[in-house]
Amino acid sequence: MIEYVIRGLINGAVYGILALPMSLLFATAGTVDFAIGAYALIAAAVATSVAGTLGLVAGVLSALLASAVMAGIFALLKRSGEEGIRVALASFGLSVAIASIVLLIWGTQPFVRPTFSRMLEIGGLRINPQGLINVAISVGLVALTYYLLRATSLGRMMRAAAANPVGAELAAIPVLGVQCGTILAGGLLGGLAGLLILHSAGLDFTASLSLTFIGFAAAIIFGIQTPLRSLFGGLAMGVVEALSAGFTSGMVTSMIPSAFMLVVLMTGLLGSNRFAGDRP
Amino acid sequence: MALHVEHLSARYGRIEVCRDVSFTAADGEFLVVLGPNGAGKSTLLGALAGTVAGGGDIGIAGRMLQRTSARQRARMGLALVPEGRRNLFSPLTVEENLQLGLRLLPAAERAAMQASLHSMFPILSERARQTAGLLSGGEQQMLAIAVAIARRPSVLLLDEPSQGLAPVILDRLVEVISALRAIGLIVVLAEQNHRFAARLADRYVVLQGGDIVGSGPGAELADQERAADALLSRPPLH
Ligand SMILES: Nc1ncnc2c1ncn2[C@@H]1O[C@H](COP(=O)(O)OP(=O)(O)O)[C@@H](O)[C@H]1O
Ligand SMILES: [Mg+2]
Repeated sequence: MIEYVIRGLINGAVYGILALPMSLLFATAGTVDFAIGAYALIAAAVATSVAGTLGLVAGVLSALLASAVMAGIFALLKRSGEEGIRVALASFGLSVAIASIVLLIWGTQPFVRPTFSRMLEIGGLRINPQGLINVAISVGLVALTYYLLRATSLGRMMRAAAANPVGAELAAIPVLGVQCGTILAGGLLGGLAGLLILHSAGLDFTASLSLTFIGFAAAIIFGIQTPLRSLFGGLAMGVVEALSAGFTSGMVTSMIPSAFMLVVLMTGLLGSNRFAGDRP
Repeated sequence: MALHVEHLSARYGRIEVCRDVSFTAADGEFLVVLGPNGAGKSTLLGALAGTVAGGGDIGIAGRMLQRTSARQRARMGLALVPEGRRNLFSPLTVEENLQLGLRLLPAAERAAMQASLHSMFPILSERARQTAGLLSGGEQQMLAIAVAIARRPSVLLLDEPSQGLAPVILDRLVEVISALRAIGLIVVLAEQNHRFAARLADRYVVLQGGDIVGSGPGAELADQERAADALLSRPPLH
């Protein structure tokens, strides 16, 4: 039992990284980027094809490039006044396109590149050291995001654009730029999450949408407002996933995030477009 | 530096609210746009600030503003405090709201401007770390004005700042807005509260159904009959 919980927390930390840009974008643009999981996938795929540290850089860059495409789509849709649901649909399309490209180039092979060959033994529990690295990086990224939102001029502008877009225009805040920047941050964070997964549990071309769903569920489970809640949401999703994997069939496990999303969409929990980063 | 507005029109989609509005305001002048609810005052100010679609010519100090976005106009010296102080970011603190206004100033001038805003609005330093949304209506109005003038605009557009405020607060608001004369900026004040407007106006125009139907010197507004006339939409007799 405790082993499942710990394994879940370790996986969940990465889900927190996926949830983070979801909640940021929802706050600043009132929309959802369903391609977040695809950024993780493309980063992992590219990283396996380039040797060494350069592979990590190439992976993140490819994820950034993919999110730049999304930012372009967003800007075009926004210019024609087609926001919200259109953007979400377009990101769905982009996600499928990226998965297809990965399937085309890399085939159905799983992407996994364990960093450590030996597990750590802590109090009788076997833990992958990479898991601890993942947790540290997640916590670090959440702290960094929190700092960025609270203490920098850019963060203030993001929160202002989220709270009051018209007021932001009146204050000469480049709202569209802030929103596109948030999508790019999604590419960066999604790509990093993909690399962490590559070096721990691994993933294949089918992972993009399920990672998106997990990130989405993690982003809203405790309310979509703040970075810290995203991390806790990710941890919660990780634990739920690990427990259900341990005590039920794999089918149930894979259904949980999508079932969760269905409930959220049906109950309209996502209704209020609140601000990001106001409180931890 | 004067403000010139010629043949200004403003619309929401296909619904045209203002058709052919022209007026000018000289440097340091306080112009009141007086009119009843629904006359198009907010629409007019929105069209000037760029948040409402429109046509016609708008010039500040000879620079033409049409075909520019609200964001560009804000950078070109126009500052709007909308109805209900909707230029504020209620989840952000008072200080953060001010910082967002100050950031358009050259870095070297920010500290001095901040200090002068704090001395002009002492409440803002007392409440610096409080969330703007938790301030009282009067305090929010002070903050909204402070944020707007923080970037040293040449034209300040105020949309019904008196709305929903208690008489004592209005006295303070009149003081604060009057003090802006020292800065020398042009103030365009949309109001339906003629008593409040009378205490600030150098000149007034009456807006009715989206058109300017009358105008006169501010001193006339003190004459209650005329002001009532203006609000009852009969143009004054000149
Ligand atoms: N967003 C909007 N969409 C359509 N019509 C509007 C909108 N806002 C205001 N109007 C209409 O424009 C007219 C002028 O409104 P407004 O400018 O708010 O007047 P005022 O500020 O003088 O009370 C009114 O008839 C109002 O119904
Ligand atoms: Mg109005």
